[in-house]
Amino acid sequence: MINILYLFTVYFIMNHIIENLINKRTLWQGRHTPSLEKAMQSGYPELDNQLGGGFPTQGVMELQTEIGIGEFRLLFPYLRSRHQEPRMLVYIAPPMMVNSEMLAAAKIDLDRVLIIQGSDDAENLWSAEQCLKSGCCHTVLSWQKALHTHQVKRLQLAAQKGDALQVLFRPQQACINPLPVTLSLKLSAQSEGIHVKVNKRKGNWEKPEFDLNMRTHWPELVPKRANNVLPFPNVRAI
Amino acid sequence: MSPFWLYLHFPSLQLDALQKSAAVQEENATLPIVILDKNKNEVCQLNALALEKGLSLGMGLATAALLSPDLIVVPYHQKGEEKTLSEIAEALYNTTSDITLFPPNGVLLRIHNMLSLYGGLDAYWTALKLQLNPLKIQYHYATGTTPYAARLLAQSQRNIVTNDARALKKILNHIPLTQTDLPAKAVIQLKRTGIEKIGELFNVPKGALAKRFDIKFNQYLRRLSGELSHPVEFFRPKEKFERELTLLFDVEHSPRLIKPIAHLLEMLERFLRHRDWLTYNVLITLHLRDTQPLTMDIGSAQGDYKASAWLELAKLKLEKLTLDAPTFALTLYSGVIQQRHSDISDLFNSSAGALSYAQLLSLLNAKLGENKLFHPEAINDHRPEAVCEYRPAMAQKIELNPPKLSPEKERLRPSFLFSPPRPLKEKTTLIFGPERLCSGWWENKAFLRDYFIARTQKGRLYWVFRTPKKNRWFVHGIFS
Repeated sequence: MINILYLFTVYFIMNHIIENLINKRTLWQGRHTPSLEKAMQSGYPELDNQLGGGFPTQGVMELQTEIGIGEFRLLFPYLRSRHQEPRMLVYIAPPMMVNSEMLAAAKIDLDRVLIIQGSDDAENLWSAEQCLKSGCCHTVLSWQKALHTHQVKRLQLAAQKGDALQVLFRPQQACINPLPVTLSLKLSAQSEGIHVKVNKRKGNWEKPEFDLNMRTHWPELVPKRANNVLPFPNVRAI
Repeated sequence: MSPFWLYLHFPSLQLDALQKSAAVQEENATLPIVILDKNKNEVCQLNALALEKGLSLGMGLATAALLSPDLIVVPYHQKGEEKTLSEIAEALYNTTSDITLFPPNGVLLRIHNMLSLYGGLDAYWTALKLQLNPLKIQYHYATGTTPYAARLLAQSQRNIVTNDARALKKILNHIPLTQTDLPAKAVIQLKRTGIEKIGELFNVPKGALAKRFDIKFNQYLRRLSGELSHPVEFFRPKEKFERELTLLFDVEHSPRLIKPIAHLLEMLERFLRHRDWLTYNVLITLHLRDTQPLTMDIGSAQGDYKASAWLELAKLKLEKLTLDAPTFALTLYSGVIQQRHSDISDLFNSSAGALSYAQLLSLLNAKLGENKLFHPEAINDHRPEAVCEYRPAMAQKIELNPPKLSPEKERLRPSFLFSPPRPLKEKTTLIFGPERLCSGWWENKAFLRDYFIARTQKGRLYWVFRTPKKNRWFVHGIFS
């Protein structure tokens, strides 16, 4: 009888502690993989599958990538549909000139695209925070290399406040320490598109790496499959 | 309705302003204070305590100092009085539209057009007093049918508010000529002929006066009687806020500046609230004795009009500040001023709209400075260099025809451009092209280029072109 009573007491105390931890969000339960609160289709069904619906609509997203391998194109269908909202798209210190012709061709309203060229990293970060929390920008794109944990946390809070997404394009060399981001993708070039590794997705299990084909969106940029050339062994058989 | 005027005369403007700042500093001004006109070496304003000690107006400095050894003597400063006067006008502008300044110490109000708004002279006068009394400045007042008549009655301290023109005329007639603005020489001349009061002067035939006195004299007289209209220039409230506060006692420790600054910020709040404006920065200049003035620039990310918000920021700045010399005056300026926008917020979208886009833009511009914010712009041209431009975000938009691309071309533009194009140095394979662009021949900038899409070994996609004549390769853009 005493034993049973003891067990009950232990059970109640434990239960209480666990509940407390769950409430504080310090404990993550593996039994359910919550889909991201708000997600928007990325335009790539494969990616949507892996990310549980698409890119997050708020928070900080990190893309570990070289410049020019298709990282912007990965984001572009998302940006296009996000731009339907009557809010701004902000580029902060882009490494090259933003091509307005490409944006105009994709029917993106150029008046709602803002480019900010701060004079140093501090100014750029400040601008990013202001834009995110203002509530009048849907996405902020930054190319900042050096970032600290506390800075990313501030961006997270600002993004939550303004319901916006901060995208960080960072070269792989700069990504030594993991940052507290909502989603982190590692991208590398691949002949028909892009190779994606999900480094981190808040509140989710790790998933295998996968290739993403961009043929549907940019057929011209994917090398043509040479249909008339047969592999060598087959030729021999003829 | 014939024009009707009210004149307010402030006999001790500088002294009152000074005593008010003492009250702000929370110092007990229990000392006699006099304002001394340096040129004439005579006391021109004095407080009640000085009066008790037996001092009087027009007294010399030596006599005054003898009567009261602990006397505070402040030199008369006309510019300062004029500034205070325009502050009074700002306050009165809340009740009256037509205000004329009579520097250094008078304000004329055109009131006949205000009476129907307030419902009579008494109601108007009560409303006006509500604006005047909080300023804690002594004043004498009088109404009149002409500006000069009202001024004369107020200066002779009649303190009368009535719209009975006949009664006013009667009082005016009894005012001695010595109190008027007529030249002293003319007054003596008239006295010798037995004319000492205005009424008597009015009885003299105009022709006789015109013959004996100069044009200024006659003009004054005819304006006083209302024969000649008196053109006045009306006061217009300032677009920017600027207030100076002279401190009665020098301040050496920066925390003690908080009270005076708070007072100035409250005035700023009133100024901004009435106009529905807000400001992004506030400049406070500390005037230091014997050294260069010190200016603090306080910026607010949000942009604000509330004194409480600004005071918090000012306190932070003051904490870091050490004063090299005692401060004797403060000036507060408003910086970048903006119209206050109502937030565009959706009732159902909880996170929406802390700022509108215009607010964000002005905020960024205030912090980052000029030439940091751009909108991309597509110009109707076929040359890739000419199509793409940046337009300063703060500048006005010029309407342009958007370039029309054929649908099959739409996908083939890179997301970023190198400006100017760079020579191609990497080994690449061409995966798409060519697309020949030949343009610009009409303005001597002809070019002929074959554009290709090339893939580097690392997997980058470049937008490259070749100049067929010289056969050189350049990278123009990147399909990021």
